Amino acid sequence: MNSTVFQETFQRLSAEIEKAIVGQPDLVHGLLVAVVAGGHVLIEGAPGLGKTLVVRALSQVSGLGFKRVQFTPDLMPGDVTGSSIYDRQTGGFTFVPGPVFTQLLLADEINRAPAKTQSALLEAMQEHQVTTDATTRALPRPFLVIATQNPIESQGTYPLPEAQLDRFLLKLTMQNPPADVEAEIVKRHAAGFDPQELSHLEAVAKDAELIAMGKLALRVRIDDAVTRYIVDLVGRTRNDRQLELGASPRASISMLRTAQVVAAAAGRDFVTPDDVKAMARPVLRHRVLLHPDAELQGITVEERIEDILRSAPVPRVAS
Amino acid sequence: MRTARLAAVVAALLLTAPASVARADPEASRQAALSGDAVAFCSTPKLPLSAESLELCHLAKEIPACEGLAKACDEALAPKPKRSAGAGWLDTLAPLGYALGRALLWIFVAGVAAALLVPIVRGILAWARSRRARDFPEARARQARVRTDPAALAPALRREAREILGRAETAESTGALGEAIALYLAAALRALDERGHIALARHRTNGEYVRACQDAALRRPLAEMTLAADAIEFGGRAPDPDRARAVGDRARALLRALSFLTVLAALPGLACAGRGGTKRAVDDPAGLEVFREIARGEGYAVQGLGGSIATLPIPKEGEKTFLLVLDASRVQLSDDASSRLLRWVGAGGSLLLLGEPARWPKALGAKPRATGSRDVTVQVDDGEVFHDVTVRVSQPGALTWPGAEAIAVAGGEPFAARVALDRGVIVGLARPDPFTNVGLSQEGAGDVAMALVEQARPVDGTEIRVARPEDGVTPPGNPLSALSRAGLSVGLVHAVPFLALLFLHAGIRHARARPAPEPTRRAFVEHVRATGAFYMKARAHEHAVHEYAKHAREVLRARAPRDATLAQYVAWRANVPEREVTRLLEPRTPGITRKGAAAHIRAVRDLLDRAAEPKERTRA
Repeated sequence: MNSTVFQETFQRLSAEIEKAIVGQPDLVHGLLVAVVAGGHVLIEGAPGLGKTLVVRALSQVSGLGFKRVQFTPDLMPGDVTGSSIYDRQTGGFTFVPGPVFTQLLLADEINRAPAKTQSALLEAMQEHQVTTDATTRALPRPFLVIATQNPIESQGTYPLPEAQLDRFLLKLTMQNPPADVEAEIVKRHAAGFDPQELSHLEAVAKDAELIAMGKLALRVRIDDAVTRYIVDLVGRTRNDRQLELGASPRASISMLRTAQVVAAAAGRDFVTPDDVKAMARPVLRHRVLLHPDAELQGITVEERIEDILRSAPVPRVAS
Repeated sequence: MRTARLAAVVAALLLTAPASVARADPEASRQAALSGDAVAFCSTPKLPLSAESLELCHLAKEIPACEGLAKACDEALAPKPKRSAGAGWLDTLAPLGYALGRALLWIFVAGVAAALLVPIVRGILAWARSRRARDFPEARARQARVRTDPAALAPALRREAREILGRAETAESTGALGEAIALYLAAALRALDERGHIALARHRTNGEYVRACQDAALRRPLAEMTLAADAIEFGGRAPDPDRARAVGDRARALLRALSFLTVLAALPGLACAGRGGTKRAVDDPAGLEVFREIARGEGYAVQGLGGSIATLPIPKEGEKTFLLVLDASRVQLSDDASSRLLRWVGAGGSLLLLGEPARWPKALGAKPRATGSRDVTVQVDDGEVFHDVTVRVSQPGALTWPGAEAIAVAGGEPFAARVALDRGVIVGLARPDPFTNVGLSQEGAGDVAMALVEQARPVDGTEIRVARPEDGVTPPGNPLSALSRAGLSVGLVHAVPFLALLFLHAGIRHARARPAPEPTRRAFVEHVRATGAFYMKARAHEHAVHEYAKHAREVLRARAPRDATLAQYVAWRANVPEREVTRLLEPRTPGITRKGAAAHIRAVRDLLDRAAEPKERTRA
């Protein structure tokens, strides 16, 4: 794998997914960055915007094993991780793996399950393994959780705890498409597009390629000035008076990893502040918590992040 | 006799006169200039008539096509009717109006005084508040942060694009290639910012500038420069001369392209300002618009002077100059402008000076002279022979100019004369009429005007510049003198205290940091005391005594060492008998009165205070 192959594969993946998803280039780019960086993604958007579709399209074009779990209030941790079942024939317990044993897990409407079920994913997301009945089982590589949630409904939902939110590499948001994009979507459906049938999408990469891309991205150079810029940005979230909770050092690492992938996808072997800034919003938005006073004033996390990005000077040598 | 001598002089001058421009036919040019749709100075002149226009009234009445101007002259020069007797009641109202005006003036003054005093008082209060705020350590820290926070926008980006480009070229020539590439990029960014394609800010990345660049054609070279600069700055690449040269070329090309685009953008405006769709009406009888058109028709390039006479560039020897047409009756020359004008002429400039000699620069020594005739005769070369052409002026006028040779006469006296001043030439006319719009409405006036221009223009000169009234004024040396000249000196003086007041009122608030509000959360002890007071008010004094004693026990137990009982420790700390301590901290107070409860709580509080006092260590 070299940088040219990386760039081509990345562009091929992106183009193939966009055959099914119209007008969401940022979402597709973010998803691919997370896949290459080996991080989990939380997608937030209103119903009907194509959250599930984009994940299914990703699984199709990336050739990754795919399973889906619909999170419901009565979902139990064992329904996700799997459980040991008594086998009459052998007279012993046999472990039946849950849907988590896959490469790409879609946790649909993750906030509809109670905290204990959500927490069942903590170990899997962080350590890529599952422990049940004192036995630890490794998950296949690469392992990615893509969770979706609806920002509108609050009844019957369980907000994700901060510890779990921090484990998501990126939080991507989906907005309603503009009129021309929506018209294009409707035209496609009129022409016979079936969102359930994605077999026309070609698998343009394999899991081994994605792992190789991830390893190549790790070799992308990070200048000290860029590192300082990342630390400065994250540090500013901790010193912001409107934020109750700032981003953790894990956010700095996430920003670094994703910026490396963005740089590699652009055909560069070094990271620029532009790459960092491009990933700052999806990396930070779920890792900071608004102060209650700010929340009452109607200030949003996005606004605070924008202000922080505007206040942080970009490293520049010309002086 | 005098006319014959003049003819000889003119013939000699014309023989030594500079090579003529490709002359067409001045009279034809004159007819063409007067036939334009916008020519209105004779039919519907600009009203009210200016003093210069009124000077031309006599002439206007003799020109058949100028009835409109003649009528306007009659109306302007007619005696004003006296006020009718019926208007006497207005006179009685005048004192009343005066008194009312004075009252309104005083109300206005009072309002202004109040408007000034209110900000003063508020400013003082704000100052006092901010002084208190200074004592808060948090505010001080925030001020320090603001002071020490460096303006991260690189200083290079605050300079002019050309200046940064110069620095970049210097850096490249001295071998500082990395710096040169960064500066080339900075120059390009600054140039784009100056022209509004991007907006520089310290938080924006190079990639954002590329994406934000409004001109798609400039985006690609900018992206290439950005990549080259980033590769060195963040990619650790060693800068090489080829790369520096390539980036430099792109930066220069980008700056050139931007300059070209600016000129292109300005062209429509220039066209409109010239003779585009918004063509201005030629309605000033004393204007020089018809002369300009005739001169253009004769092959001259005619334009305004485009700057003050006081800053005219002095030509070097042999340098090509232009003919400056200056109507002294309209362009009032300052002392600086007069001396500069004469220096310019001496260095090779050519001047056609119109108007009364009294308004010419004093150093020329020209004076007006009486004459009885309004007919001005000039010898005109029609290409084959010289012949006299006579035009009429509005008022008789002539001049006396020592050392000058007459080139036009009026009633036997010199009307126009020519003098050589070192390397330059001045042709002066006693009146501007032959060059004015009305003057050029006469038959033969075109020939006369162009014959006089021929006498004045420099060798091979084909450029005529016409001075505007404001060109005679010396430009101000600084913004303050400009304001002062505009009559705003008093306003400036008033502005100084007003600015001070404004600062006291508003600026001081921004200059000082505000203290963070006190946290509203109560301390635990304060909470307990407040709760106790509440119990007392609610007549639950038994409960209050119990709760307060409990609180005291908890506080003291936290301080007491592990190996001592609470009563022993407190008795030792507070120098109170152990039994008394036990009574106070383990109250059995059934049926205690309100007063008794208050005394008990006071005693417990006193015990707490005494136990908290530092104890002198005694050696056992």
